[in-house]
Amino acid sequence: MSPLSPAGFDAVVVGAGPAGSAAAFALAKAGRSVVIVERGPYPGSKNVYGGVVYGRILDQIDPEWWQSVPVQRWVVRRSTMVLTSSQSVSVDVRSQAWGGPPHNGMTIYRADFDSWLAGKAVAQGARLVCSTVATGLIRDASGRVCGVSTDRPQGELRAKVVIAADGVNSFLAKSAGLYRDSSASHFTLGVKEVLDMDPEVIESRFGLGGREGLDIEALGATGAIPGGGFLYTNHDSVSVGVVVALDGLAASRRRPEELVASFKAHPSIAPYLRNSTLREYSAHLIPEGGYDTMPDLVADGMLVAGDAAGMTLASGLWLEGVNFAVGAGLAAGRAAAAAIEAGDTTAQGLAGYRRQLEASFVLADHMRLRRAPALVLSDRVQGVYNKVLCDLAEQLFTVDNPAPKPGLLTLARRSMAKHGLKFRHLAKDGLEAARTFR
Amino acid sequence: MADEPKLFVCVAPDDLRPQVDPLKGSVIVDERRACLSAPDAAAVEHALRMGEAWGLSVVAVTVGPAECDAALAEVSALGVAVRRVDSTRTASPRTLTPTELAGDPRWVAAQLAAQIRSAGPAAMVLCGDRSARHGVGAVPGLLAAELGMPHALGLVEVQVAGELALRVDKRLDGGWRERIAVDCPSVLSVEAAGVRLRRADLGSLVGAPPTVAEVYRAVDVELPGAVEFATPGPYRPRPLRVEPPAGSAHERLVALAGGNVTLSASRVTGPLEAEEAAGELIAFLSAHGYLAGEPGEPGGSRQVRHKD
Amino acid sequence: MTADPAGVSFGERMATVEFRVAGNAHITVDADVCASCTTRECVTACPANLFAETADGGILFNYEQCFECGTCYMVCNKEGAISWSYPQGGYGVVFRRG
Repeated sequence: MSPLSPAGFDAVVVGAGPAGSAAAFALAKAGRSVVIVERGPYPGSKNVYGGVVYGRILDQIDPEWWQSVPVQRWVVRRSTMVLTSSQSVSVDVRSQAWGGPPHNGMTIYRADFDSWLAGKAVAQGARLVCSTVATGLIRDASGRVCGVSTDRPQGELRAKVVIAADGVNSFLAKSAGLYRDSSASHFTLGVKEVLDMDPEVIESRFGLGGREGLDIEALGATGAIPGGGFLYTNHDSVSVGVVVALDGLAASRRRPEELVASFKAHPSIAPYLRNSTLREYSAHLIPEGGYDTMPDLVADGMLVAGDAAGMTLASGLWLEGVNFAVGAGLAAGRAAAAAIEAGDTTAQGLAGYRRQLEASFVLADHMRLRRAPALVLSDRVQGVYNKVLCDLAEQLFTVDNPAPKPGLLTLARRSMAKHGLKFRHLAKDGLEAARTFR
Repeated sequence: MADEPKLFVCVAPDDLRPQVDPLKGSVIVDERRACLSAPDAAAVEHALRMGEAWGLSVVAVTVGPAECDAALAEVSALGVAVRRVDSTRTASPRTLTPTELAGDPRWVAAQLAAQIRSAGPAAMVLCGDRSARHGVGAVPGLLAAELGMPHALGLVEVQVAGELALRVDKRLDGGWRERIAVDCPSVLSVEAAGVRLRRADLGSLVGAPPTVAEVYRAVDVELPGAVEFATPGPYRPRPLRVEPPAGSAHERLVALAGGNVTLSASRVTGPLEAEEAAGELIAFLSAHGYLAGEPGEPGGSRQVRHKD
Repeated sequence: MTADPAGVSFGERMATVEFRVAGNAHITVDADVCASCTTRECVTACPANLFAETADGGILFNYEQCFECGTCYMVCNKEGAISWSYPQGGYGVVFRRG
């Protein structure tokens, strides 16, 4: 019945998300036999994201990916909003260049996008097995990982390399002992609502053309809990939600859906969402700890990629995950193929993975921005600067005739004093920001 | 091999959670999400058990688009041969046309029967008792008629009772069960009760060929008197005929305003002693006919006190 | 259940999501540990509102409408109180617009 050779496959990839499918694609392209094990009934059925997929990394999978990718809208407007309970300051960037090939960001539904990407791997010769949970690692006598066990009858899959792309909860990476510390403080919870809205209403409300989209990231949207809000447009729906630090959420005793509701009720957001109906509610964890909280990426016979390796970049200005997962997956697939070719799949033989990641944006960006998560989630960034900035902007544009206009420095000093922000704080955080984003 | 009797199981993989447009009432299905319904899965499991008991092979027959194949991969990995009659559809997700929505069970039954006849003699034909495709459970009955077999429906338990013989429990109203002995060949419609479809082992799932189904073209079927469906519109109740009222408008106005009725004026009598007051009250009530049966005035009479 | 200002009850909210419910629970809680817990982070933090406090001081949980996010065991600071794994393959939450 089974055509499996005793040695099994060259590689088993756990998880048919962006990292797993990209890894399987690279392995299959290198002529290696590879199986993807996916626990959902179809790829993307367990996955949630929060805004924009930056597609340029897909050039390495399909040079004309934008022809076939199941896109909702091409993001041409990117807004960064700073909120207090009744004020907001926005930086709104629009570029029509992003609306045409090779594009910049896009909004998608993960069920469509992940299925499409898995299809690319399958077309290259990878085997996709859905509805199957990888429950553990199989090790040989020397302790090297040589396969995975699954929850199916006779469910052991043996392979020379296992690529764990099993998502944020990565039980495989944890069972391999690759995580030094996986405490709640390194994770955030994303809670999202997809709201039905007529495409014409979306286009007129957000100032968009036919296939153009908008993405708003908001700071100061989650009250006392460190986090942020987001809103982005799909073809005939709008996705809106919040991302909150897990330990902050637990300490606040507030319900996640209440946080979404209060973000939706903000005077700067509510008008965008008028007369929309809830289509789907979802939630997912995000590994936002950044470089310093990543696990070891390589073990004997095993690589970790994507959310399983904590590769979501949450740096305030840039919030990216899917592109990092695809980049890491491609590198993992190539490194595994090279190691199999060389006949050495020990941690040493697979070390090319980390070198590739360091040479590419995946670890380069993470290393450069390793200080960002702590800065972005710090108390002053979350609860003071938004108020100072909003007050400053409000005072700046408040015309208080017949009183003459106060100077900008006076206004800044006044606003800082009102919210208890000292110059030394500003200098310290400014220095920190300069070092973070240098 | 063609003469060996086989067990056939008719399945209809479909999007089990179609979306309904709240305004237009149209149904949007996404066949990429197709999977077996619970009754269909139960039918496959029963067929596999019979196949093991009687040493017969199992053939799954379906009518649907290519997207169904993914849902049948697991069935195929369980050692079931899959035959699919292709019904070419447009892109997924898509809005069902009214005719598609209603379907014609006779057409489906004819296609299934043609497949079963061509694939070899049937020892038993199993169906889920109704499909998720707007099904009312008509296909198994029509299939039995097409194949000229007896039909046992509403089965909640199926047990092998010997060589090519079954003992089945049929669901009746009020919580009753009817136990029937069923011989081969018969058509059975089973409910999703008591069994869960076993899971395919990983090796056969991984080793399964990329295309799991043998694909066949639909046979031509004549459907006399097929129901045609118009585009569904919002519900419009029929107008109710109301007769015009009797009398002229002026008379009705006067009647409504109470113009012809003379009214009694109130009368001040007090202050009185208690006995007198009671007498006054009784006199008033009997004068107005509230105290019927008073001596001398059987039934009471109604007097109208005129205003003076 | 809590209602949000848009008038969507929590039940209606959860009804927008497809769950293919497995036969076995993939969450288990240790009743003894939970009875001694005073903070009960899981009750408020779970986005699917699966955990409820009982009158006798225990924790009641549902697994049927689980998003499989992992928030509950992450926020729980009692060692081993919540054990959590993925539901059987093919079952559990099925997002369409995630």
